[in-house]
Amino acid sequence: MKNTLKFIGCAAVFGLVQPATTQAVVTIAHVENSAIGYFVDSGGVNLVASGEVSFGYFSTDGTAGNIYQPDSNAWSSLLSGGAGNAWGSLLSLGWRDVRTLGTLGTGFDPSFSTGGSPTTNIGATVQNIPFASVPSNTRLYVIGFNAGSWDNTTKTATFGSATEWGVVSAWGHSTASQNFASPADGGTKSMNFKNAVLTSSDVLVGSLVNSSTGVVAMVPEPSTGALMMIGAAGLVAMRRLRKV
Amino acid sequence: MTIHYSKVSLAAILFAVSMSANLPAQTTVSTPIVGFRKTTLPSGSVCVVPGFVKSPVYQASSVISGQNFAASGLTSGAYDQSSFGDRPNYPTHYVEIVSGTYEGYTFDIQSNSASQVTVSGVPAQLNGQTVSIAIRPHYKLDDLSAGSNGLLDYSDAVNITNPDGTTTTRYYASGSWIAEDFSSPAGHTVIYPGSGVVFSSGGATITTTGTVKTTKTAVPLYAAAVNYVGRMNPSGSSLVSGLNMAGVLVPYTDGFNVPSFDGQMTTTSTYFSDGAETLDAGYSPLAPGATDAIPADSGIQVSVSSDTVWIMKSALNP
Repeated sequence: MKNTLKFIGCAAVFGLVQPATTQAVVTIAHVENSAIGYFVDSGGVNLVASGEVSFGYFSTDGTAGNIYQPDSNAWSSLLSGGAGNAWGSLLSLGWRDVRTLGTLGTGFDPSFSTGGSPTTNIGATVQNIPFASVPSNTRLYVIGFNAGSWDNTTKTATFGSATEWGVVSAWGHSTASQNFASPADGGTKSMNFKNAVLTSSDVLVGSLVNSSTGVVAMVPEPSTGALMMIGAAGLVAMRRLRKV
Repeated sequence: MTIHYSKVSLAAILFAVSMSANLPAQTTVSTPIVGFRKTTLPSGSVCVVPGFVKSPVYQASSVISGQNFAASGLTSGAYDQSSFGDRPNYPTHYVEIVSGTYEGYTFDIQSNSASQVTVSGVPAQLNGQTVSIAIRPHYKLDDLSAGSNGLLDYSDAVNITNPDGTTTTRYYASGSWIAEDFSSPAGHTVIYPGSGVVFSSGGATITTTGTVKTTKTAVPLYAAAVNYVGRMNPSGSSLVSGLNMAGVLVPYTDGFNVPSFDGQMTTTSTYFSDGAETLDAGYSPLAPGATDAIPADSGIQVSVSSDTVWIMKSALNP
């Protein structure tokens, strides 16, 4: 009772009590190498030798209350728009690369051109991301493009020349650590494909080549895919003609 | 005696004191190294990891039977749990295994008789084994603030992260601590060995005292929480390469941040593991002789994907 009265007295004088909180930052990382998985091109075999990875989340205005998760229709729309238009469409949906919010750790680069995934580590560690922007359990995504790059000075990217792309966001797993969910205040989250034990549903754009090794194939431009389909149809037609 | 340990410390003054006169007759080890360390807390928040434990009140060889450690010559009930306003059945003492495979593991004491102590959480594989143990009083928030200067009532506070990820806040008041309700006494709140608290103040000085551990310390790391832990090293900063953390972390997934000790708690560096070596933020192994360090009195923020235990070596036996 004595303490309570004393508190009331103090609160009356100072108005409020200083909360005991940290500065509220998190670290989010993504790495690709042969040990933990990587993107390959749409053929499902060859390494991606150019382009870059972007990783982050969707938010209409970057605040905690406006985290956005595109639904399957949104991804279908993005897919049909083609790789070259994908980046602009992603930004219009509220895509935020976490490099716009934090400080990029030194050591390596999320560009495939640094040696081609997975001959060397590619990826990045981004520190001091405000927790208020990416509160715990915010869904995170990894997006790969086979052309273009991120400019960490201007915090912008040029992925318009990409002809293939892929998106992965592990989610719905029974083990929380397998999901691409942002960490609690002060924590770290390293997203990699293998340890997430990806399923096909985790690959939002692209295809899962091998879950046990964490290999994900990008998808080509719709026009490229359409040409391939036309070509395949032509072959079938030729075989039929020959049979006749 | 004055030991070599004091030669490497500018801030800590360490003494070796024989405590044998205070221990039961069964005691086999009787020269703990005690000392104190004065720490200036900047305005804002910092992670503080006390570098000391309490001196043992009992040391002997003990046979484990289920959740009981055999002992002799104890005062019945002396180490029993206590009930406090905010927490019933709260531990006051713990048993620590001080040698062998399970060196460093600790178990909260529920009760004791003259011939045994009853604890919880003993692994089944320890049943029937004979181990060397020490019984120590818990290090409490009151121990953290004893000898402090500049702490403000109802303003300065600590956050303690619980195993389930929730946070417990304790406010400083009238020389002790109170719970979130601003009335329940909470100075008894335990700071487990190797664990840290987030200390928020307008700037203060704390003086920690106790015994320097010469044995390993097992520090639980919980998947549901960001774990504030650190090296119990009252002599100064600790090298990241000496944390022995690489084998604890799931490769390329688990990691830890080193927060600044300037009140801002910004992340100064991040580390991962490849299973064998500690990796820097670029996922490259720390070079031999790397000087990456954790500030004195401070800790790290560890994220793990499943519950595990970090075996921390003694600062005296790195």
